[in-house]
Amino acid sequence: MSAAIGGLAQVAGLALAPAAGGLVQTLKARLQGRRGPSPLQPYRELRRLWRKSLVQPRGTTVLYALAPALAAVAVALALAVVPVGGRALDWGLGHDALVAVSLLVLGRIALALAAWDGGSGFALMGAARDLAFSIFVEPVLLLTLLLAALTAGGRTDLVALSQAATGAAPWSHPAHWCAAAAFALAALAESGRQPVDNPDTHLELTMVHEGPLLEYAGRDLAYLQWAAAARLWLLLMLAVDLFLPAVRPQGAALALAAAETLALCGALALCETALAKMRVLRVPIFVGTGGALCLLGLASWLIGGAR
Amino acid sequence: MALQSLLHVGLDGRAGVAVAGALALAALGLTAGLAALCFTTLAGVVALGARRPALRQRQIGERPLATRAVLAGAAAATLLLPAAAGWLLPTLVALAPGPVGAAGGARLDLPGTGGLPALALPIAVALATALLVRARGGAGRAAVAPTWICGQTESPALLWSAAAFTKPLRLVLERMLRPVREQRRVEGPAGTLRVDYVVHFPHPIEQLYAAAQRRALALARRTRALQSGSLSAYVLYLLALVLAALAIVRLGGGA
Repeated sequence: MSAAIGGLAQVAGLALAPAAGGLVQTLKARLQGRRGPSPLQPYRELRRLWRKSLVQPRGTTVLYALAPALAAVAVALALAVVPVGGRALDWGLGHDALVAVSLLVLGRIALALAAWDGGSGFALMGAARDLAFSIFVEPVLLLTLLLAALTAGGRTDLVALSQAATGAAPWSHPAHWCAAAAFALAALAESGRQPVDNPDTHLELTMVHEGPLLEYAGRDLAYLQWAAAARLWLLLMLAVDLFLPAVRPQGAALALAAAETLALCGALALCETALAKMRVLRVPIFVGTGGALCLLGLASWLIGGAR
Repeated sequence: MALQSLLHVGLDGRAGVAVAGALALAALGLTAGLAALCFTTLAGVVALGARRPALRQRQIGERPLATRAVLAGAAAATLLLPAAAGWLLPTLVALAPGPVGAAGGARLDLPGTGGLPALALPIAVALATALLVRARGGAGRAAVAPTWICGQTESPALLWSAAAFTKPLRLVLERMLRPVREQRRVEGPAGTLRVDYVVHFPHPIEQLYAAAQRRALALARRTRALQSGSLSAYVLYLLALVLAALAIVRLGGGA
């Protein structure tokens, strides 16, 4: 029963994902003294794009047409792997953390190949930067999983990891704090938010994640915009499951997860208001700080007796 | 599965093993990211970018069939091997010494993991992608347009190469790779014919080796300067050597 409710929450995540991005935009606007768009604006955008016609650059292959759908499917399946509020339905894909990470990589590769297929310099520039960042982000994500697995008896099952994060015990160790901070840095880079990338800008020379989207229109662009929103939602869910306080009873766990998601959206808006986009060459140092934090956390765990 | 194994090495209670496991895990993650970049670059240069009309004008659009076949084979193996992991693993485990076994099948439920959907994942990806592509509509609905390149005409000079695609990474790693840039001027009877710009990345090991070689050669030059070919200088060296040997023997005997 609890797994079924978890499954429903996972399906709801597919629909709620654009609202999280919309809420961040609204909060950011308010913090900057502007009225800003409604949190529902991403849904209006998606509806508008769904009615628009497609654009196919001359000379592109079937890969160009497949990439948006593949990127959206990869994130959707990753959402099926990640539990919500510590519960999840087994959709036949398991709940392994590494499967979720590899699905995110699949979406990125599909978009990079589509950029090569289209041949636009700006799309290729964005894809090249995205892949270069991912070289540094992936080790940090793996190390945060390692630290999170310390409290779950070495398991990479996301449901087990999430349930191990309940109570006060994980917070008593510095390794958990280090992992949480490192995950925050890696998640900012992975989701393409400030200070790593500015999702609001379409200035060609500074784009990272928006670059490969330039040639797309209509339903293809709708898939890609939903995939970007779902990627943010997925990372928020991972942060809530693994690194934020949790409780056992399901109703309370879901309510707490919703409150924590709202709080994380607020924190993201604050971060995007306070920090400017950093230079591309500084991003690996930013992400590398997360790696150093992970090693520090591991050292603290070992010094503490590897409980 | 390699990542899973290293992750469990990183959880070892012994400090040295745990740190080595964590570093190996990070290195494997880094290698996976590099592999993704390399595959994308290769696929882009060989199969996708090569189709551009301007490249065909430059007569480098035609890639040998063998090159494309190797790339397609590597991509197919990347997809098929993980899908068949459920059937391969029990055979591999059976090769190990001792009574060790692993349950195979379409899905791998290894201890400590959340289940690895070896076969279900590619099937789910393929089916869901087909569904979304169908919902997207056919290519007949799409408006065909030129790729947006700020109104410039497509020319070979504007096309992306592997070097351009990997430039962000090279810039990030510049301090470590330390590229050597050279400018070579080719002179002709009527002046400069052309100027070549060459960039190469010396291997870090070679840089260490080069530093040791430089120091050894400097020492050899100084030694050559001492041995100037003068017979009296050689006699003096021999005398100094004998005196030093006697002093060492004397001191050693006193002790």
